[in-house]
Amino acid sequence: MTQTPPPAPPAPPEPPPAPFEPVLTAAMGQADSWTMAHYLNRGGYQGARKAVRTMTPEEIIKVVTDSKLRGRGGAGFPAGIKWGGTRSNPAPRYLVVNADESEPGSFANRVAMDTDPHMLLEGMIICSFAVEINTAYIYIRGENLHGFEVLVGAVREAYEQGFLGKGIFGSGYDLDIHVHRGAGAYVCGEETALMESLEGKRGQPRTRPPHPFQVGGGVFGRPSVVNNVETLMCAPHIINRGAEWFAAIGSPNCPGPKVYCVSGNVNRPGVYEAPMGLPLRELIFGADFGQGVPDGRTVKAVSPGALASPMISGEMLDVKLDTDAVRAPPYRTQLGAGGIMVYDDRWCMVELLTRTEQFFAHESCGKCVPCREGTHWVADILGRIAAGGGQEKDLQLLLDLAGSMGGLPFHQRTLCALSDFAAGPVLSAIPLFREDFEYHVREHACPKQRELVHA
Amino acid sequence: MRYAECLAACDRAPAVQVNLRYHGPVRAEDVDRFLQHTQAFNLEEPAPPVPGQSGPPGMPVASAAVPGSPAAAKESSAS
Repeated sequence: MTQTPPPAPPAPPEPPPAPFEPVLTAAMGQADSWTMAHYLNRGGYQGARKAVRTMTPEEIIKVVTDSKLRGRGGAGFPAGIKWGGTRSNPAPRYLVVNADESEPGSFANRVAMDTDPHMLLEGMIICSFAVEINTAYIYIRGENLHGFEVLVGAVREAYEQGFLGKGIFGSGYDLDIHVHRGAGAYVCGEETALMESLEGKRGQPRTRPPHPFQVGGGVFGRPSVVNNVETLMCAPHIINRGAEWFAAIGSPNCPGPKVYCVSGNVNRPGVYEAPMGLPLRELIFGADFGQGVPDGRTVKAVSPGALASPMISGEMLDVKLDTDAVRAPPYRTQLGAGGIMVYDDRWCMVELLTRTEQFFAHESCGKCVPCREGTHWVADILGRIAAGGGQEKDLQLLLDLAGSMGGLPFHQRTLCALSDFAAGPVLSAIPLFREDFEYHVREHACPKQRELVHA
Repeated sequence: MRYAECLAACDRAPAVQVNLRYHGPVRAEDVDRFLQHTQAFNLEEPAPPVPGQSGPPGMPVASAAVPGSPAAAKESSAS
């Protein structure tokens, strides 16, 4: 006689996932968080000490590669591969930190550096040691004088502690850090224009190849790592807690803690740290994040990657904010540095797009024809439409012009992506919000009774 | 008074920058107060502290050469 086996006991319930603990902005809001004493008290510089005293460059690069850290400045290039590639080219090499952050909508780096400049310095020490670099530069936008002073103060404290200079942490390794101020150009956030500016020349992008990691492509002609502030701030945590810990946070393809900024028509604009892949809806409406749109309004449009990203409509809020998910259809946009801007239904997209294109026209460095001519032409046509002089054929003309300038994925018709960034909003806003544009060209008035204040 | 495109201060918008110091969010009524301060423009002198602005006050602005760095060595040997 056969016996049916007894039913298996129910599986024990899965423990709830551990709540996310901020690491990059853990000290935000605490008094004196930018001082050496405060940072050391929280275990600061242990990662750098461990790296410099007990690890080899190869080991550090392997850990960072295994962590799957991807650049946080917008391109999302794997950091470990960049560091390894640079190290494979001859010395002397340099590290350049991109603290330019001139993208409208992006302010995460500013807040992170004000809160925790030492975390950036520690990340720079780890990267420099791994790539065998002895001189590093921080390029910070000129307008951020306060941030510059905070960094200079932090660098001074690090020298005093022996964490910078000759024989850091009592080892035989030397490292100097220079803090350099920019002078107000958005294009100098592009890595090659940044390097030109750092070298004292006019900030215009270079032809690539050679790429920054190669001889002739970096700063002063030497192989260079150019990394965003947030990318480097992840490094101490990877060294301290390991690659697996980092790779398990957030989206598997681009993991780690991410500092998101949300601004515009939200109740609580600000900087919020969350695992990579936070749903956009959560960032806008979540109680821990933006807390919704004020005055009972609805979301009309969102720029998920600050001004440079193609816009998405209020119906597309279920996208996850990671580098790869936003690029996929139907969103076809980019995350950039994670500065999300929310526009409610009081906005007219003609006004919004006009201001956007005026920004890019102002910031175009003028080197490449599609950008130099296109940005101004598009801004002028939009200004004319906003002022009541639009014609039906203008809309197709705008789409054609923007198409010539570029778009996503980068068309590479120009030496840098400013042209693509200027094209993206046009190519997305006109199809998504065609009724605003058609109203303007038909009625020669604004459907939302907005008046464009000329910049 | 100039229109500024982007100050990376969206969390404090509407924001102004007076003598390179950020203030925000500001109201239209605050304009006169800012304009009075700019009449005493001096880059070396920090603006009066504003609640919510973090960071060490009164840091010297002009120096970028940190002690021990090659630039500082050049500065001290030149003087």
